[in-house]
Amino acid sequence: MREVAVLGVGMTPFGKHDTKSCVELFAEAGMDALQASKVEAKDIQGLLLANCLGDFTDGQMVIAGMAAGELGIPHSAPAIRVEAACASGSTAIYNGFMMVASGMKDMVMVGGVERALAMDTPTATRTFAMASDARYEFFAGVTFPGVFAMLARLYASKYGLPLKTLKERMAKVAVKNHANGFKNELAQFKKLIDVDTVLNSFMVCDPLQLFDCCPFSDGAAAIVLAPMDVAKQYVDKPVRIAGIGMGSNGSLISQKDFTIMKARQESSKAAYDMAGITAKDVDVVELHDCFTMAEIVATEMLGFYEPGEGHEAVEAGETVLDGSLPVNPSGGLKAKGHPIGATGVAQAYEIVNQLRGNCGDRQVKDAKIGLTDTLGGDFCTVVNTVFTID
Amino acid sequence: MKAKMTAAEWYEAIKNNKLMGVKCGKCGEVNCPPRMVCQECGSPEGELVELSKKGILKTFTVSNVAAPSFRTPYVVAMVETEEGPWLMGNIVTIPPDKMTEDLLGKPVTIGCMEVEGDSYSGGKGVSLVFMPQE
Repeated sequence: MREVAVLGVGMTPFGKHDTKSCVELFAEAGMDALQASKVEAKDIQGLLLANCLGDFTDGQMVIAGMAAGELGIPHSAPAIRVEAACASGSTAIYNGFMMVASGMKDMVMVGGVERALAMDTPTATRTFAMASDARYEFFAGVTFPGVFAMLARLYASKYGLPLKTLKERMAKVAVKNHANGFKNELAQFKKLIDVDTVLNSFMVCDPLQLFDCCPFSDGAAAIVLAPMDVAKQYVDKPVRIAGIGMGSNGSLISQKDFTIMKARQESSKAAYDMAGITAKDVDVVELHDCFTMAEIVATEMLGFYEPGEGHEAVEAGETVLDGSLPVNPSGGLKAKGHPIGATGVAQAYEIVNQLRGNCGDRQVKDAKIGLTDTLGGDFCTVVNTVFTID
Repeated sequence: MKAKMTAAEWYEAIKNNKLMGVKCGKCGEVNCPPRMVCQECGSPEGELVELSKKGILKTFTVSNVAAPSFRTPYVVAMVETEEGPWLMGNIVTIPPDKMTEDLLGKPVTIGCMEVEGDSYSGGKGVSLVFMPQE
């Protein structure tokens, strides 16, 4: 395999973009990534575009081909739409990595775009629920906040933790991620909150309240990948994709005790092994905090904490920006926003900027090894990527 | 290889009060609902068996948001059956505001109800119903 590097990265603000189509929105992030990479669209030999709901929000299929045309990517370049629910963006990176590592292509663009706010809340809730098992879960009316609400209750009961204590610690995850998002000019919510903000908010799916949940979002992100020797010809600080892993599970019910996510354990192990590191070596992580509870279990499954102990790390303040394990310096899905197709690519955007020392007020000191973690469906699919810089 | 039992057939069975699964011919694991291969060992060998319709309540949520075909608030729950498989369904015999933590671990019996569904679900469907027992 060839060594693969990220050249430039681009990202739109996350939030509401109701005057633009998905193709237009993605083209903005794509142009930013091209310019940051000091390359032109004619240099791009393939486009992998993550998008989940363009059929519903824009009435648009073959969105990757449309986006390639919009950006002036050559007729000779394959343009492929990638869907893996909320992990679509990272799944696109996984595929882009394979294209470059294999020697099949020398320069590819990987991106993601979503306009979830183009749908009303019931329609958005319905379409998001398509990422659960359509045969054996949808008819119970399960929603994504519902899945993570059931996870919180299962976790509290399994580990003998009072639900009230767990909820306070979940609230602290939201407080932290809003504090980080406050420092990110591209974040959807630049608003400081406290524990009471969370505990006094609307009860979405008991025990998850509104401020335990990430928002519906519009946004786009893009990165350019090339072999390391090519990347060095264009940019000063190429960031290496040192390891990448992806794992799969079946439906939620087939996973039984879903406080333990086997796909995530396998995916992160594959990424660490390829990079030749362990969880202890990671300086900064952008992980899938679609709900506050999701962040706590992710830190356990990625090997940072033992199962059942992630909530204690939150209480001890270990995951804040200047803590021993800074988690979601961008604000995470919670505060930065979660335009599902774009999310994994936006996580890569943050880690690349963290490793390059570009993050200003939210810079993690001396970050050399960064990890992304992206979850699709009710723990159905997971992608982990290790980024390093010399 | 043909499915031992499809979702449509499984729902027809539960409507007739039979909760069906596949007992693996290799490792003995009971899979419910039936899958193409055993979720434990991967073997395609196995035969249809009827489950006891008994389990314990593992977790639940009271949902105040929903897709258009559901009326809030309602209770979604997960149960571990006596035979091992976990199932998702609803609790309708206890009002949502009476769902408390002490229900976790309580025995339930398993039935079903017809639900409205929508244009993406192929119309009407069936949801499992969990009835907590004293």
